[in-house]
Amino acid sequence: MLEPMMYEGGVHKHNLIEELVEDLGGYILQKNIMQTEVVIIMLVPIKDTGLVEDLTKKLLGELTRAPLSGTEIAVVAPTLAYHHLPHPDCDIAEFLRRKGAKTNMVGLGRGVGARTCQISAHERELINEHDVAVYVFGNFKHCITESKPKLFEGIDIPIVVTGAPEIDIADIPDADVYVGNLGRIAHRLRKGEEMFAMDQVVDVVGKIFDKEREEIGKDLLSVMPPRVKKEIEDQVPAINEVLSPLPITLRLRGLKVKLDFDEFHEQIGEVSFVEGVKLKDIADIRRSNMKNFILVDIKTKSETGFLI
Amino acid sequence: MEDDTIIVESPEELGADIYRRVIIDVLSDLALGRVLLKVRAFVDVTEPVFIFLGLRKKGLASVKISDFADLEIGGYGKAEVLISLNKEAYIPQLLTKLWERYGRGNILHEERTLIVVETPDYMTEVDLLGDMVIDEKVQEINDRIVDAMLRIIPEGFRVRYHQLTDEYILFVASEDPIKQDWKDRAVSMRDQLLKEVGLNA
Repeated sequence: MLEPMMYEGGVHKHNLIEELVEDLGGYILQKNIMQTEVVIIMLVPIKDTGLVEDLTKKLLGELTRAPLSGTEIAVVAPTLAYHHLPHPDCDIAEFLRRKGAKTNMVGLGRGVGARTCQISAHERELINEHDVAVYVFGNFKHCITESKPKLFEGIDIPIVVTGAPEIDIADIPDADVYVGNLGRIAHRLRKGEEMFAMDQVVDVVGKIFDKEREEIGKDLLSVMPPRVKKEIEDQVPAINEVLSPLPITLRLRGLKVKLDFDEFHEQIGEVSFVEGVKLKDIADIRRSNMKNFILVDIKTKSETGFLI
Repeated sequence: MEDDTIIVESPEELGADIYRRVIIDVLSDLALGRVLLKVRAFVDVTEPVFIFLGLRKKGLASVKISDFADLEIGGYGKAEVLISLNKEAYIPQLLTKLWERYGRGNILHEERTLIVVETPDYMTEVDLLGDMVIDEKVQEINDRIVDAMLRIIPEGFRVRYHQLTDEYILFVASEDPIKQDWKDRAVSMRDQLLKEVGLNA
């Protein structure tokens, strides 16, 4: 069992942390160096977290649990106009990122209005490529319960909805969780109750992932996504030249490789493991709706018959 | 804050409260707090309709050259007008206007606070220049008010009806064709507000 953790500290000797985690059999998911500071998001074997904690203390860093690590979340706004941005959409996305998630903001083309709002098939597929969709809505109950649920049609992933009024989740068809006290806000979210509401969004998303992980536990994936990430990094050199912030993004049941599908999908399929299997045998490799990237969906044990 | 400067009405109380906050944020972002005397808004998402009414403060004169500079005719035998500036703030707008009227070659700006305009009709031009409007505050504020409107109105409400005068701004927006009922309601809100202010003044 691996524990998602975040290390924050100085750049000096931070490679010791990386080496330790890799020696323990953990994985480095993401490393951001900002001038003299570094933030590392990693998966550490749960029984060895003590060792990482000791080293962190020695390096005067800070180690926290990052429950959303290894997930990709879509923050969906009706459009990307100034009515929704930068507050509160960006603030909610930032709170999710602080806990280790990778967020993508999805601005719908025609998501505005009560009677007129709609979502296209392409947008639907794009949102379905994520682990959770967080819909950021406005101030009026009628709008959220009556008009906007149209935007959930065809979304197969869990849906979190935010808005201003207190609404019972049963009143919003197709949504999984509702978080109030947010709504349309035209200033930076920094007041107590706003911060609290954003913490709540993080909490409910975390709970959804706990449930999803439990589901995965019942029928394990043939290989863990972080291991595939490591193998791709070792066997496909082109990935090291990708300038996107997270060249290989982990999802709960697979990963997104930010290389051109037509050029690289065969090479990704040929990635092999020491056990003698190739990635294409244990995963579906398909085209992503996002910039022609490669999506890897790992098959479960019940489909392949083995675990590696 | 229990004042009656900004009041938002709606069948949904909480929605109205938060909308009031949005209006305050947008108006302060665009520095319109001192421009609007009173604001009334009405939102009903079931219709759906959004009515916005803003009463404007008066007394925003435009800026003329004579407000910030002294004008005189140049020395004996010179066909020119001298503009000596007391304030440097308006130099860019002033120069643009002068270039438009007299051509770049006829404007000399060698000293910071002195502009020389070469023109054969200097006797008449000196009076005309004094009244030349350099900064149209009203126009700029109108632009800002309309910008604020577009930010405040719910984004999907793309069908709009408006009145913009020196006294007030009135906006009715919806995603359906504007009904006469809504216009009537907006006009009665306007009349009531104008009456209130008239009584208080």
